[in-house]
Amino acid sequence: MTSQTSSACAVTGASGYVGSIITQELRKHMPVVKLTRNPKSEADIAWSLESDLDISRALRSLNVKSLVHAAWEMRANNLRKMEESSVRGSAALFEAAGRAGVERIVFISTISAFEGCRSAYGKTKLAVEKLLRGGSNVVLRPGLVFGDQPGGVFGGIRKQVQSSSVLPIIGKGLAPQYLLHEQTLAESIVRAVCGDFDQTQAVPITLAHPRAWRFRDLVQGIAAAEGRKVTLIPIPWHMLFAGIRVGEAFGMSLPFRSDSVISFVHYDRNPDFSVMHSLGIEPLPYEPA
Amino acid sequence: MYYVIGSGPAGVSCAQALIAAGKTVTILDSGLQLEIARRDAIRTLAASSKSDWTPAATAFLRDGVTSGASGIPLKLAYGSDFSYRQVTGATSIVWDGAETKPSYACGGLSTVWGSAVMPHRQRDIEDWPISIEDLEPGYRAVLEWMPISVRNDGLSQFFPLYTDECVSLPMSRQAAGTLADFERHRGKLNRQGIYFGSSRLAVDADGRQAQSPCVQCGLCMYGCPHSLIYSSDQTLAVLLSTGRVDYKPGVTVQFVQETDTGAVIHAVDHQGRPMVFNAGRVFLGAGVLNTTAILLRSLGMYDRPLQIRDSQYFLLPLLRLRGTPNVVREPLHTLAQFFVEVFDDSISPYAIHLQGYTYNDLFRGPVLAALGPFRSIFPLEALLGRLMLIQGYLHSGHSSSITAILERNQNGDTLTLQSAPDPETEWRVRKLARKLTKLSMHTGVIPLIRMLQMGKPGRGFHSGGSFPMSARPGIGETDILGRPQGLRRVHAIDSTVLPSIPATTITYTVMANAYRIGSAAAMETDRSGE
Repeated sequence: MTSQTSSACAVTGASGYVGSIITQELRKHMPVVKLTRNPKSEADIAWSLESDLDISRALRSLNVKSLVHAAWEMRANNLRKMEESSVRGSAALFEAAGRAGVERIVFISTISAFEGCRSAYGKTKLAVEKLLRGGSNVVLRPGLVFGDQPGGVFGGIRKQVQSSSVLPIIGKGLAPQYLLHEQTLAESIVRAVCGDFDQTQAVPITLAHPRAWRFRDLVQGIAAAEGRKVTLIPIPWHMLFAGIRVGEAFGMSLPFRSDSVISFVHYDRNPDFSVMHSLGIEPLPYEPA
Repeated sequence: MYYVIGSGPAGVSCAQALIAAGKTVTILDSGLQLEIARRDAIRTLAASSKSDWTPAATAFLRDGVTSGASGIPLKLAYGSDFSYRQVTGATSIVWDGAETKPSYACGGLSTVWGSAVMPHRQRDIEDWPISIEDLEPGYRAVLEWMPISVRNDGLSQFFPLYTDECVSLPMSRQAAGTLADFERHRGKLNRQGIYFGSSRLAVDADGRQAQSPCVQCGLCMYGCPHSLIYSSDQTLAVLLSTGRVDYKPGVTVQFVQETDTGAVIHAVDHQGRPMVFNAGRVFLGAGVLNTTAILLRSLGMYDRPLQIRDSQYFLLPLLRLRGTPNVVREPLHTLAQFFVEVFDDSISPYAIHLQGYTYNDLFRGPVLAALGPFRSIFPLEALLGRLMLIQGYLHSGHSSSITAILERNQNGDTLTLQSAPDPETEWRVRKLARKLTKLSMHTGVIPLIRMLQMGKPGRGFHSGGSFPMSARPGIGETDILGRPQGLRRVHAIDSTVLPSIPATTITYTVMANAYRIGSAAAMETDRSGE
């Protein structure tokens, strides 16, 4: 790992599950500046994907030399809205970072982003990836992040198995899930920010353990780790998708987006882990109790 | 010295190319053979007249063969499972939702295949770094040693015959009637993207290379008593007679190490003893699972998932409106009788391949099971005279696939094969079935959609593409001569290197491509003076 640096690293999405892991780890190595809707200290900068504020001067004044962009507008549920918010906001952020003299941008993409992906989430992440090609930027495509106290999707599944013994699953639950331990994510982020991955020139790094878990096995594994037994009820994905779409059309706030169903069923059937391996990253495996 | 690994269709085709280029070849093969008692029984049958074949004399062919609504669970050869039997040194495989199997038999899976052979169409291989023109010399060469039963019909405009000699098996009455119905509405069907013709089979229809022509005994699905269904072990025997080929059975290759001047092949014999061979070049034709495992081991690519592409297999029973009497007593062959190719972009931009099977005695079991207590009163013969079966395939681009990963553990290596479902595959097949239903007044057949059976990935044995050929190969890919990135003298020659798997059968193209690679590699060696 490269030595510590006194320059600061800005982080977007720091209040989310992945962003908080990133922030916590980076703070061990360098000053961290949060770009957030609600700044809570002088070291934070007010920012959001939708805002038009030029933050370049603020970044420069705090000596920000690197940026980790993990924020995403998760309320949007179609391509147009995601393009308007996340893609446009990301582009503006990168421009501001360029004006501020930020030397390296690390973009937290997703394993759902790949050429030919169908989901709006994957497509817009892919579009932002393409804004960063070349230079010393880094694109990470993390898998499903897990840890001892997981949040995000993994944490959501855990909460579900804790509260219910009967769970609906999409289709037969055969879709593969590639998992990424929080520790591997944290270590990789620090290496990326410190320049260890500059040679990738923003070629995406798929970051996950290459061993795929079927969704149904993963849910059962999480349940077993919690000492629970769950019964899984397969729901045909077309039916689930149509149902959620109807709910969304009526403006209902649902725990699962229709776009996530698309992302779930139209996954990358051939994820490329070669860049990750070439960088010497050996992800920790998921081992349910 | 040129070493070819495996005696399946790819191996013998590559060996043929090398021999044609004046090289000498050693074939290393696990080489399992059909049991001697069964071979003797087949010889006895072949030496006698069909009229003398008693049920007791042919009973051994049916050993272990069962059929159900989802087809034959595992097709056997002459009542033996030797085609799928394991050997010492075989890679341990864990199946998770995938069904394809490796073969360690002399002749590989050609000892047990359905013998359907069609070339590919350029439009179906646009993602390949080579074209149909590159494959054509191989397509022609293969037909010099592999017999083919073929007619020059409506399929030839899309799928050339690559031979001037058209010899064909007689068609069953059900098939002939069906194709006659199709023919009456050819214009309408063609406008709907439906083209049809006789099946093309790797069968020595007139018995030119055997003791007898086809006697229409109806035993094809169990194993031809006259060995008229092509198996690559027949070509191996011819190759050995040239004196230019050395065959070493009982050798299971584990991995290959390339050196500055050649390659070292590491193998084990059937007692598990290590063996080493020094080769100038190595051609891996061990079948997609074994070749993939050998390459992963050779490249140190443990724990790295690869995608094995698969051409989706499905079974769709048909009911013909017009019945054919006495099919049970009809002399016929029971391989695929006719082919239907569907070109309909609203279902798939690729050709969909359908093989039509008419009556064979394996239909009887599932029908009786379905009739249950009504079997004694149901007019079974009338139903069997109308029942047909479509065995269909989709292009791999619209099929589920298999994720393969080689892991090292205390007991050796394990290759895990995990199915990776495509959510739209079944939808495409059902759309096709509905299209056929709408056309039933023109085709004279009604698809029994409720009895549609989708095979798990690998079920049809049309799988490959784990190290796809690429014009600019990266990690996990091969160049157009099947060499993985970083290797110069190790070529994969079987379906492992196909970038996609078109629906129109796999073996013929694998053979043509193996021939192409063998020819090109020999020329490259001559040019470099190695």
